[in-house]
Amino acid sequence: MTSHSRRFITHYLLPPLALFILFLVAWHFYAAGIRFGETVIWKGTPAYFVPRPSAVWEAAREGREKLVTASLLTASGALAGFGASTLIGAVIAFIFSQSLLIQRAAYPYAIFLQTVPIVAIAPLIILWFGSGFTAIAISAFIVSLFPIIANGTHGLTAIDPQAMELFAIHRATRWQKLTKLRIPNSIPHFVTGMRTSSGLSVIGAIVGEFFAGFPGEKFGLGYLIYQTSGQQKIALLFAAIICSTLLGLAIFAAVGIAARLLLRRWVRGQ
Amino acid sequence: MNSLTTQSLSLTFPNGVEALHDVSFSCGESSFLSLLGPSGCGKSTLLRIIAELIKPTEGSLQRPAGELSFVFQAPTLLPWRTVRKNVQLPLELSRNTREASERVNEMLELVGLRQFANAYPHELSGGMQMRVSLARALVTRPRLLLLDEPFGALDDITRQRLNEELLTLWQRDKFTAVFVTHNVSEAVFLSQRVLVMTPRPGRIHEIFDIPFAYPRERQLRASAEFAQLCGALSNSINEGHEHAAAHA
Repeated sequence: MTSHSRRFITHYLLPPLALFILFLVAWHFYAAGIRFGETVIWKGTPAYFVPRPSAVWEAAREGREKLVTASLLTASGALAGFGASTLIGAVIAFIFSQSLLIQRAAYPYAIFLQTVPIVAIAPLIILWFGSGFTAIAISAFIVSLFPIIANGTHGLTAIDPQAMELFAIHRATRWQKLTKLRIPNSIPHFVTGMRTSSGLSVIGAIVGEFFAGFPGEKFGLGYLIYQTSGQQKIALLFAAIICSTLLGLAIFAAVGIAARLLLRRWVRGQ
Repeated sequence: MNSLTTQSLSLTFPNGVEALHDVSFSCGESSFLSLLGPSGCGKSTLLRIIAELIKPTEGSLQRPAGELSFVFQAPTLLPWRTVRKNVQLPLELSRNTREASERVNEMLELVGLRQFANAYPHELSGGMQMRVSLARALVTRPRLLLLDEPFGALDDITRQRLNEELLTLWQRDKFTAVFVTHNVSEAVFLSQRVLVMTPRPGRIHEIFDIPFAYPRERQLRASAEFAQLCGALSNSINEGHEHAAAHA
């Protein structure tokens, strides 16, 4: 084992892992109670209130098909929304960077995307697009669009003034300034936006599913959470919540790794 | 005429602040001129007027024919391009790709960075980044090279070494150089002529001819004549400063 990977394990893997185990132990005793013989130190909580970790594990094993299907469906909704916001966000950022007038006129409405509670407009999305995949992808799209626009616009317009002068002195055309300066300069900013958006898109998809979940046999994590909380299947609910978190983490990590590979040249001294 | 001449250049900003007042000077082909003064005396602004990045409110400008290049305060390298690609940039912008790679290699050789051709800027020291910046400026064979305090952020030892390298390049390529600095000994070491500028508004206070012959060796800095001249220039700067303060 190289010292590099050993360092990775001891510095970045072990500490969170240790904390996770500590958390599981604390959770277990909180739910199950602490007793020494006849002496009750903490009587624990009822299973319908906080299930033990072992019960959650059991429920996850039993419902694994349901959970995997739900996770994949939610992931596809989130990724569709994320992909759309990356593409459309890039186009909007490009338009903003080309015309200050358009940017000034439209930016307040871009902020609207950031501030409107998705819960409030979910009924409208269902009204216009019906229940199902499209509505969920749109919900993920709306939530994850703004960071791409904001970071992308910044990356295309916030250029080192001396670099602009350099291009001006060598009589660069508008097209050369765009392809050789603005666009390369914007890449790290776009990636920052994509990192934020990737996590948001999962939230958007899950919230979308609360309202527009897939009817019938197949449904996503949001609908599963909605359904199980109504049926008091509390252990399965916990399992679904954990799946949502892991899904968000997985997408965030995938974008992070892709960004690291892509940005090797841009990143200073790393 | 291949000289650089300015006639009564003045620049007043829209807010009424006068940045430059009646600046006239002339420097012949292949000469080395420095603009020396404290910050705020308009020397960088004057350089940008010569580069036609800023339009003066009054006065006129005559530039030598041929290419112009500019070396900025910061190296201003594009971090996503290798050293080679950074040096090549001006040739790409003017679509002058014929013999580009030989020309780039030649420049990298001259600044001693041939073996760093494929490195990225962040892998280089500040002094090496500045050498890349110089190579990029000279790759187009400019007839006029404008330098805006290019070595101001470097340590003294690196700065002196780069001064010597710049002179070697100048003697080799015979371009006209206008060098902005607030460092007295740097101006004296490099230049044939130094214009001392004073602030509020920026104007030429005094002109010094520097008599030392080229090539100038580093021992020159230790000579009595050199120290004497530096003293005279420092006095001139302070005098001009007091003069400006008295009229403010």
